Amino acid sequence: MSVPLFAGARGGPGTRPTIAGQRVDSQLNAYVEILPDGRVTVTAPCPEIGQGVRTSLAMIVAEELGADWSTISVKQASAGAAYGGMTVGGSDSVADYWEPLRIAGAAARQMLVSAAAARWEVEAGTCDAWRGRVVHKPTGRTLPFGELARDAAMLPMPERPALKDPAGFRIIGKATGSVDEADIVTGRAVYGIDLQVPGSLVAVVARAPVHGGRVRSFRATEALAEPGVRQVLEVEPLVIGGQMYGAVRSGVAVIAESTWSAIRGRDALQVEWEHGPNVSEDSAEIERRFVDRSAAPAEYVLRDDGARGSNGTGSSDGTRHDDSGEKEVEAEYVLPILAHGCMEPMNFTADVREDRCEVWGPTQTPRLLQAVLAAGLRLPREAVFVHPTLAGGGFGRRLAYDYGVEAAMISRLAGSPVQVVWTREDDFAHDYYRSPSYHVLRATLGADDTPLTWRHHILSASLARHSERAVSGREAPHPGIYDVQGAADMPYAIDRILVEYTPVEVGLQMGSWRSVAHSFNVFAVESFLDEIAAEAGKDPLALRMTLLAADSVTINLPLPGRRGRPRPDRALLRRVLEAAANRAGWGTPLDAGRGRGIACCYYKNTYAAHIADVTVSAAGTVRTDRIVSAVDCGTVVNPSGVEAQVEGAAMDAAATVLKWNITLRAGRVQEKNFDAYPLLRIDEAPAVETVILPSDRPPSGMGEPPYPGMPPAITNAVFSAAGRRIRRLPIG
Amino acid sequence: MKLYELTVNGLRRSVEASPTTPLLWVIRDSLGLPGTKYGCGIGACGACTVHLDGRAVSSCTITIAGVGDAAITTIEGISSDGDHPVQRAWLEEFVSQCGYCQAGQIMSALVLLTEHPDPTDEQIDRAMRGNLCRCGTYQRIRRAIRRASILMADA
Repeated sequence: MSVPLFAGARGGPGTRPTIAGQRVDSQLNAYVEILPDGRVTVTAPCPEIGQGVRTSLAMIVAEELGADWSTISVKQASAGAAYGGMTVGGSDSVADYWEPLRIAGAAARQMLVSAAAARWEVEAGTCDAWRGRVVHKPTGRTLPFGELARDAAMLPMPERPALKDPAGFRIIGKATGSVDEADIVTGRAVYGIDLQVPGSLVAVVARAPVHGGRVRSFRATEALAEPGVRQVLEVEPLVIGGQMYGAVRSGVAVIAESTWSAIRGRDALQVEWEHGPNVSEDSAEIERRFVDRSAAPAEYVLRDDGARGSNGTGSSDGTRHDDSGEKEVEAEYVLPILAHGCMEPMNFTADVREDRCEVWGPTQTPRLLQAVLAAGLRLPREAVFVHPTLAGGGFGRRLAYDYGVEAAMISRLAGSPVQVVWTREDDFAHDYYRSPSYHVLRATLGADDTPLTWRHHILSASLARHSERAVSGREAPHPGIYDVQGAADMPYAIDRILVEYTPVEVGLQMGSWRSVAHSFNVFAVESFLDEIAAEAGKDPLALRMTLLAADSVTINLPLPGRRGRPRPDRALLRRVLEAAANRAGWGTPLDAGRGRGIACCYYKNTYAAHIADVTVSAAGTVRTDRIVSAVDCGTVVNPSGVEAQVEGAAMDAAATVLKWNITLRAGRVQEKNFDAYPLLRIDEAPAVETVILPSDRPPSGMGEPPYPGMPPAITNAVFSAAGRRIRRLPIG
Repeated sequence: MKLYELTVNGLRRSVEASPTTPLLWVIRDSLGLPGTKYGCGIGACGACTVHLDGRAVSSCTITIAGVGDAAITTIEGISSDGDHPVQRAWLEEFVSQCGYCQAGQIMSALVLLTEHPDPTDEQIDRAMRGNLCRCGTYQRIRRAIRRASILMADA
């Protein structure tokens, strides 16, 4: 990814960065600012949703810069071309920004070194930068960054500065606490919902309770009578930039002087809804729809490894696969709709004027939001300012920019800056949910009980179809990676693999949920592999090792881009399996009522294996006691951050298995708050141990990769403990 | 709307509010103290935890009229510059991911440690189970409570 290093500069390397047309002497480039007192401000290009990027990305810059970490503070970049894509999602931030940020830090270091060398009248090659000072190695003379910054900022920026040898890393690779921790523990950290822009009012919106519903009529009288309520406005539904990210619901906004007044005003509002066809949507009916549809042939083939013994050729010869193996194993899996439940509910603050738009709030997509607002408001991008705040969680919900667009729409209609706050009930009712899914798996085992054929039919509400709908009116698009990842690209060497997909309509807004289709496809794959192991009388770890023993191959999927040709590294997957097994004591006997399960997966370039220990009580209650994870995410920037993602994924996994379920009745989501959709509590939390495998590979992501393999590890453990095979979640 | 005289973080504050306004929104919007967070509004998540006369309370479940004379302490009031042992322990143990729930966690932990300076696992569970964390930092919260216990004993 190409990331220019100058904020707003037009020229080549010789051009100094300018901000608002003023020369800024402390700004060495778009990412590094150094004050005369030596304080270093690093600009974080990506928003923080709890995944630790404000810290890890700053560590990369600080390392190459040669800064003293204790002098670093972090500033958040507003949306702008200088900062690249800026989208936080797909676990890509550290991977994508690794090289550009190293270059930014190294370039600034080189400029500081040149400035010092000039002052000392020595060769730049005899100097280095170390802990906030430039050092002249032959004499030991030093100069602090603060004294050099102004001179350094005048120098041309080197395009290809020398990067550090990783062996010399002092900051990267060291466990580091969040740069925001001090603000968090004192209540000073500012999340979108905390922002108070001068002159802004607060809006709470009554939105159509059924997906696709509309306001038929409303009466504002009672709402306007509530103390503090100023205005009541209708919000038109809108899809901008695709259904999967930009569907704003029809509704009525109550605008008031304070949050509570707006909430009270909304309670008093009288609205009649035209619910539309999804009013009959119902969980039992949805499941019937999946079951019925699964009985018919699949609509698409996503993987068909044809001839016996050849993996990954991808050719579909149209013949039925060979069913004449000795044993057949079959299973169906049912997975529910999930909500995101970010602890900070959706909110956004907008100030829209005739000729400019300024917005603030928690978002995973600052630049996409900027583009969409510019298009929607018919303003040039330079007149649209998007300032990401800290976000109280993201998990994929904040990839959608509906709530940002909605805030801008309301501000424009109100003629005032407005903060739109979603209550927890709003957040549950108007999520961009994780699709439900149904999986049909069939395998045949050969003479030695090794699987010879594998067939996986996935049914879900296709995100590919969802994102095109209401935008193009084209033929329904082919399912994409967001529908089949974790299944079509599965890494095991089995002679004949057939992965099919059928989209099923569900009358609810779908979106991205931590690891997207991996979140349900890997559950099916890793559970079914466990069933095969049980049927074959094989140890589940040994079976996986056998199926991963062959050399890695490229899998050819009928999908565009790099993700259409994945090449899972089987050796790395074996390595994490072994590491997890060793740490967990796989194979050691367990007490009665206790069980141990294993699962693994890869997500892009990160490999993870998990071993879960559970206790199943006599009454059948399941407790996840421990999860041991071994992960390989390439070069590690912040090991504490890597472990944190594993720990968080483990909580998600335990809650997924035990509790999480969004149900529909009469088109409405039934779960309105945390009482009905409970989060895992501290007394339910498993102990989590992380083994980080050392690697020289470039950094790959950790936001999503640890999650998908954990729920099946837990349910495989339930089977180990109690002989009970879990094919439906949650188990309750 | 009524005028209420409150003691907040040791200071006398006056606010005008409707009697049924949850204390949470008075704290955030009228008093300008956004460190106390809104998570659910029904007392299920603990993000809004404050102290009333030293007791941990979900401020979304108590109205301004119900506060009476009780002294209110919010996260902003537990130290002048972030150096309370509990805050230091949180820093030392690298607790936070998104951080949104942590003010509430800390407020509950403070009461726990006042009542049980060296808490057992069960005492931690009981005191903290009303504070939800969506990011899953429980293991570190537990470690930080233990660390805070040591720091407070040393003080």
